[in-house]
Amino acid sequence: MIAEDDNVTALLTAEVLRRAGFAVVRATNGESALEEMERHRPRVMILDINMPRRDGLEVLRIVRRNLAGAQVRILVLSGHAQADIAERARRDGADDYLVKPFAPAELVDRVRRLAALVDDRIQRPRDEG
Amino acid sequence: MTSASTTLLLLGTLLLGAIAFTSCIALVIHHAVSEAVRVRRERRADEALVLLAAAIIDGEELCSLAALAARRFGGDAVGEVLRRARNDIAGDRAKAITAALESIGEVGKLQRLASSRNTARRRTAIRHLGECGGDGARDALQNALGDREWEVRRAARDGLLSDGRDESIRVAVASYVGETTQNLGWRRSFYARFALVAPAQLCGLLQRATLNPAEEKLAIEALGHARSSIAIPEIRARLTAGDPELRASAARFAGKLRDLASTPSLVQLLTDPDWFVRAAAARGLETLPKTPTTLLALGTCLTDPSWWVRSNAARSLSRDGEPGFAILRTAIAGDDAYARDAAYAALATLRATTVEPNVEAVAASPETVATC
Amino acid sequence: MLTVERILFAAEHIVLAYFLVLNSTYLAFTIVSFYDLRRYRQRVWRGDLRALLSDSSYLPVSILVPAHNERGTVIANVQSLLTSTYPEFEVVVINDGSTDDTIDCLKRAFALVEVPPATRVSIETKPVLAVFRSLEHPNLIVIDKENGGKSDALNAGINVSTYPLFCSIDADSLLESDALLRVARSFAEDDRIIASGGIVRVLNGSLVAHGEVIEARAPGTPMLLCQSLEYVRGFLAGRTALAKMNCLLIISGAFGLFRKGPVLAVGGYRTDTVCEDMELVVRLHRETRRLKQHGRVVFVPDPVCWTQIPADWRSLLRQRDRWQRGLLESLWMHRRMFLNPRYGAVGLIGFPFYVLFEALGPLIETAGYLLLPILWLTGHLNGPFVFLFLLLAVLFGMVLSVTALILDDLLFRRYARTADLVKMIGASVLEYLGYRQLLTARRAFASINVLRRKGHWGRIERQAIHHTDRRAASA
Repeated sequence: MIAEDDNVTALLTAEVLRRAGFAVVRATNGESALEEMERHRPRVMILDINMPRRDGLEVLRIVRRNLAGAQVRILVLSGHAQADIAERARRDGADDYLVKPFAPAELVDRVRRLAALVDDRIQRPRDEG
Repeated sequence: MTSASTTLLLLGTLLLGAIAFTSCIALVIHHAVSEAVRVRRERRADEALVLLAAAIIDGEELCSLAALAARRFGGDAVGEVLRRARNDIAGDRAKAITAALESIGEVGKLQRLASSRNTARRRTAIRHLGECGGDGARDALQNALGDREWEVRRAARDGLLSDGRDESIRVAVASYVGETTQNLGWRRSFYARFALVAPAQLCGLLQRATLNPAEEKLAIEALGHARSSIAIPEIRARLTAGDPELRASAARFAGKLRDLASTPSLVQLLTDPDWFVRAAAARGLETLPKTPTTLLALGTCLTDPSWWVRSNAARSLSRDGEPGFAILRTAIAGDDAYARDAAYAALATLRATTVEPNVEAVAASPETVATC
Repeated sequence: MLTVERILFAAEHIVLAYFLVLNSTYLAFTIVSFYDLRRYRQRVWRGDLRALLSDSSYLPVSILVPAHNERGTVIANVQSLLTSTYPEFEVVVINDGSTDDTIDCLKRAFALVEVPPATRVSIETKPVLAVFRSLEHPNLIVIDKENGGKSDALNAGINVSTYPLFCSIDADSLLESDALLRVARSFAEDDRIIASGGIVRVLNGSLVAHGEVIEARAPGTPMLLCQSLEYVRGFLAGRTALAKMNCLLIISGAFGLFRKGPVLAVGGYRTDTVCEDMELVVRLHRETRRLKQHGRVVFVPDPVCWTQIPADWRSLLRQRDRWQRGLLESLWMHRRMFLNPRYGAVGLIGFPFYVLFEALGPLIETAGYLLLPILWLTGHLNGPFVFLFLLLAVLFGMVLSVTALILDDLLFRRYARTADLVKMIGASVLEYLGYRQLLTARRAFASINVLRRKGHWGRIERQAIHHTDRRAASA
């Protein structure tokens, strides 16, 4: 899932991921991001930091606090300017951090890695069970 | 009142009435129209985006598709979409986007606007050119470095820095150095952008030692904030600089960038004559692993005359668990009231903001409880 | 020979002349503001707001939130503040002896833990009972202290704060998420700036979600519309021009950003005045000029904060009464600055401006209104003239208001719906149908009260120390 208010970034990111084989859902602000999370339960969420109606960091905190949200791998996306925010995001529970401008291949790579982590986690109990 | 003044009043009233009336109408119409225009422009950009998205990511025919879109939605909308896309996508695709921008004439249009007589238009054009990339844009930006408005010059410098090529950066820096009307904020933001876009070149600049201490301080801070680890040698070198403010900044960021090799110098700075240098050194040591020498030195700082030094030293001591805690506990049980206060505050804050098991042990230990 | 005729004649002319001077000055200010605001907007490029975060040209800020019996709103507001996008800041909530369970609500909501108070007491305040920090938010500090009023609470907050800048904000105001960024920038850019205000907008009627204003809307009732219009006019027309000359004496109480050093040097807020924010600013001006330090009090023409305005007449009139009293008190306390060249532009231009237009204005205006029946009774009333004059007054006011609205629209694009703009234009006429008159009368009344009591300043007046109720039932 992509939570991003900037149309251009959202569409491009979605396109990149669709080509790589992912199903993509988009939310345009923090509020709807939380709603869509409930509804779709994505494996990976790409979160933009600056969004209206609950910014990225707040969404991050809320998702992490919710038990169901603990599964989701979160990749925080931000402009090249906000290096300081990276620290906060990591501390608040983000799994990875990507800075714009990014190379499409890089994005796919990272998302794939995060998705694999989730699959792993889901797989293991099943194996044991 | 005479009838003359009444007539005057009448005229005045009529005049004002006319002004009021026309300005109201103008305001309402302007608002409605510009709102409609804005909505239409956004819609067009969105539609153009949908058309172009796939091609932007990996299409070869981006140029021809862009031309098609420009005919349908207007060159402005397509230009805007492409520029914004270039802000997000890096690498080869960025080059493709630049080529597309040039082919639909966006770069040409911006170049023309860049020589407009209206300052605002020039400045916006230069900003947009900074987003376009490519040689054509770069040349226009270089020309703009000599513009008579500082805002345009500044936008041109930012654009050249973003361009990233050595030559562009060199020219931008030369322009910056030659700039006479700069205040602190503008200088800071120049370095901030520089550090983010081309940290290696900035380090190179520092190496050549051509800047004065105030500028070096800004450069160090920018590199520190951007967490450029390649700046570490330069920062370490400035721990022994002559200018105290520069020393303090270097100390602060040596710690932030976790440079172990700086530890001895930082410990040395804990006895610096200037209080802010000592405070910065104490703060810098916070994130570095503590050797016995470090701990000892920080412990001495707990009795420093400056509140900030004491506070930072206590905070540093509280970061890494036991050896630091022991020193703080001694301070709490000791005679020096200032050291006691500082140690207290640090431990109390730590207790409140972390859930390390060590802390509970400290809080529960008899000495601490007794003096609570 | 002092006949009734002559007195009336003189009175008429005074009122007329005053009216002309006042409105012309405001008009001139508006025009000056236009150029300034336009330049500012071009510099702070809206689209690049996110890049502002990168500039590293910021100083850390302590946000002080004095709270007294605010259990309903304080938690939401603090949460909203904690999500600010400012790189480094702390929130200091001061519970000023609330009689309800504000402190318990805070403890629960933020997982507060008591810590020993190890702070320097730079300004004397009422005793601080406890200091708390939050387990979840390392940059939240809560102070519990004895009741001492808003100024005392702010002083206590200043004592505890650790950053070089502090910002005072009302507990019921909403801060824009990047407001601090925009305002604190100027502090980093210019070392001489010691205080700054920003544009305060009216919250009533706007759409709010999660402590953030989604869409600005004009409020519903005429009374609220008129107030809203006053805010637009006041901030856009008055403050910018005055700040340009470094004569700004009023920073809104709803939001003010100060450099801590100078404030500590002058002794913090005074607890014996009604409008502590204005008094502090005047004192800062005075000190900085006395010491020849070239400090500047500026105004950032950027919207920073949304505040609740009184929704009923009683609260509104009480508020204006308080403002007028505060203004006169502050001016009187520092009367030495009046027309004193030692205090530079503030003494020669700013102070007289406030005295003449803000302090004496209501009196002269009320006198003008009272003059009408007197003229009529003595048969000196020139019907057409008076009618035209009143019409002129209304039109002049309308032109001023519409100019301010135009500025606002061009620069800030406040209202998305054209209908809202039309409502505001309507308000500029409605103002004169009673709203303005009532407020002016109340202000004149307040002025007279203050002038009467001036002689008794030596006596210490013991009053119940309480937070004056600025809030009213929400609209």
